[in-house]
Amino acid sequence: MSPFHFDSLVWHWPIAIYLFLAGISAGAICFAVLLKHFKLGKNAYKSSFVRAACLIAPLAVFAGLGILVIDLTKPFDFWKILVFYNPTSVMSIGVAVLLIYQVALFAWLACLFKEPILKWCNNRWPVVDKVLNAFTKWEATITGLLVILALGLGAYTGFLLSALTTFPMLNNPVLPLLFLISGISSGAAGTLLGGVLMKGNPDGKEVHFIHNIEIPLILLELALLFTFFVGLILTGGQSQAAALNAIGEGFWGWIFWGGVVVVGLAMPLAFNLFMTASAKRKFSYVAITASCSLFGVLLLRNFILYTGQMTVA
Amino acid sequence: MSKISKIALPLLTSILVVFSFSSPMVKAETSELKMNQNRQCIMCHKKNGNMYGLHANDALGQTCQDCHGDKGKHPRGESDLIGFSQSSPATVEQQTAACMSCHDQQELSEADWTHNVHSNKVNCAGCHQLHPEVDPIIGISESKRIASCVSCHESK
Amino acid sequence: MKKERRQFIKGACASAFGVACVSGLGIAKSNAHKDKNETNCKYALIHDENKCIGCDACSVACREANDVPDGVSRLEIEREGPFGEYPNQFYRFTRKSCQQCEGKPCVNVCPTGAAYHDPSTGIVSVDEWKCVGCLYCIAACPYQIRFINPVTKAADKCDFCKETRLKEGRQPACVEACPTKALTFGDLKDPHSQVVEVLKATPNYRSKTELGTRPKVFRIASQEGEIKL
Repeated sequence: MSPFHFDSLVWHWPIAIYLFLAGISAGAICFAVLLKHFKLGKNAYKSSFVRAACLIAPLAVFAGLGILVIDLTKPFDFWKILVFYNPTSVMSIGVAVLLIYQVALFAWLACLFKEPILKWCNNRWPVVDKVLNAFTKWEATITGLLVILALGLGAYTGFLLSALTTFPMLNNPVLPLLFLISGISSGAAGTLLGGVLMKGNPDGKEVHFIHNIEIPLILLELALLFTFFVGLILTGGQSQAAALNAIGEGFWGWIFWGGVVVVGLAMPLAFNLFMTASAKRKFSYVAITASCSLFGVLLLRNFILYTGQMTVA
Repeated sequence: MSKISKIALPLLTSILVVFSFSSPMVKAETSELKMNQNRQCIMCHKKNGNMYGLHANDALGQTCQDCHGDKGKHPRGESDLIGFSQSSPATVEQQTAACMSCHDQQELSEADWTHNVHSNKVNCAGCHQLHPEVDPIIGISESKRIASCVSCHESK
Repeated sequence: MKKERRQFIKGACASAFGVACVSGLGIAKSNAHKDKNETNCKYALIHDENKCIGCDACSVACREANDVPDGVSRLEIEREGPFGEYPNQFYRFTRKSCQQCEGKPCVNVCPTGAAYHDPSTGIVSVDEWKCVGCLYCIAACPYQIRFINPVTKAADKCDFCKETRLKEGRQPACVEACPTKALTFGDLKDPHSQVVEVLKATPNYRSKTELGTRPKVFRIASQEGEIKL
């Protein structure tokens, strides 16, 4: 069986990229919120890392949606998804979450960048002042809503696939959690990489803060990955066949063990532990660790999507 | 000799040679096939005995008796001759066996799956005709093929 | 003080979201129940695998009746074999087409409602216009019988000829075309229909029922064939 072309394959790599981008957007904004509330406070917008996260979150969501629309067989009819809803469809609920998420995202960004925006406006448009003040008044609500929606979005990328009873490997209760956690860790990696590229201090307090969260995240991801596959193998039948086919010998087996486990999880974990122990962080360390992590998450999405569709119930 | 004639002469001769061989061959396909010069059979079986299909090809060197069996004392006395059709006194197995003395079951199976399920139920001539120039089953349209299934399998 | 309020609001948001989810599920459940009770006609089909000879008359008739473009098909007969020793060989034929599930996984995942369950016939159909081509239904169908129609660009599949033959008051094209009468079509809710009579009299099975699909295509198992473990 060719790794990219087989009879039961319905969704191709653009969907994996879409899932990756939705996850990284959710993860990045979570870290922006965390950095603002626990480390930086009012001056958060001055931090390169927060800025990077605030760039990644909306851009990734737009790019993801763009890919999704282009991938439809009738791209010009995409508005029908926004007009017609089906409460039993994960995709339909996901689209609703995505829309509200974007509103909350921009409202929160407006709160975050209130000062520079007002400075730039220079009292030219009094409406802007009013709107921003209203947002600030409701900032706590907006933040709460945004975090919940971001977590919902991250989990949705997994639920989208786990709703498919056709494929025993995808129809798995651990998948949404796995995608949520790996999405958040990709958000962390994206924030770090973007931050250092935007001339952020690689030894700054933001980096220390994110790394401290990243280590338990990677451990959790490993545990989830383990549960995911052991669960499938213990289920027996087609679930077992699917799992063994996926992580056994072959193209995708190499991607899993080499790409997802070694490059995507073990190496960032080792680098992170090393950096925590040596307490010395350089641009190259941070950038390489983050790149490995991002690469691993992207491979994980592709790996799950393709191998998941290989075995039919 | 000029350069042109050096090339042209062999070319012309070769064309002539090709033509001289091909023209009688075209003729042979119709009536001059060796098989149809078999006076012993064709004298009587003029009308339906002539054979034009692939099996009559001179290169195969087949005779009528290769398929239809030994003449014996035909037409006056007993013989082992068999005819190929539904109405033939020969059994389906006998008819199939005559064809299978050359044709390989595996090959037939690969050519069309229906060979496997019909071999002891339907005579080969039920679907194939070897005497005409082209076997009508070859390249049959999907609807005609289905019609031929239906012609036997239809339940009222 | 401020921190407390923040947390309170966060909690409120979480609970609001939770309520929304629960109500969504509630809607889903009530919808499912409605379908169950409202329908008074449920069309079903029986494929007798003993009578089938694999002649493809059904799939050709289907293509003509429903204008199915080349390269895709709503109905295929899958051939397995040969089994047994030459010359006593045989094949097994299974029908590959929409199973008209009552569990309707394709309808459940469709984001726009283009895949729908017609309450007056029990037939699962596609609204070509509403379909955007996200392929979710194609992935969700455990029988893998859905496809994108290259002409309409919408998801397509067997609808028991609902828009063609049934409208003319005829039987589905495949049923009419079958030379061996291997197909029986009718209303499951009518106790005197031929389908109900055949199903009561003959042992039958359905494919992949363990996935909760409750298909309305029934099969009468081939007596011949390999015993699978």
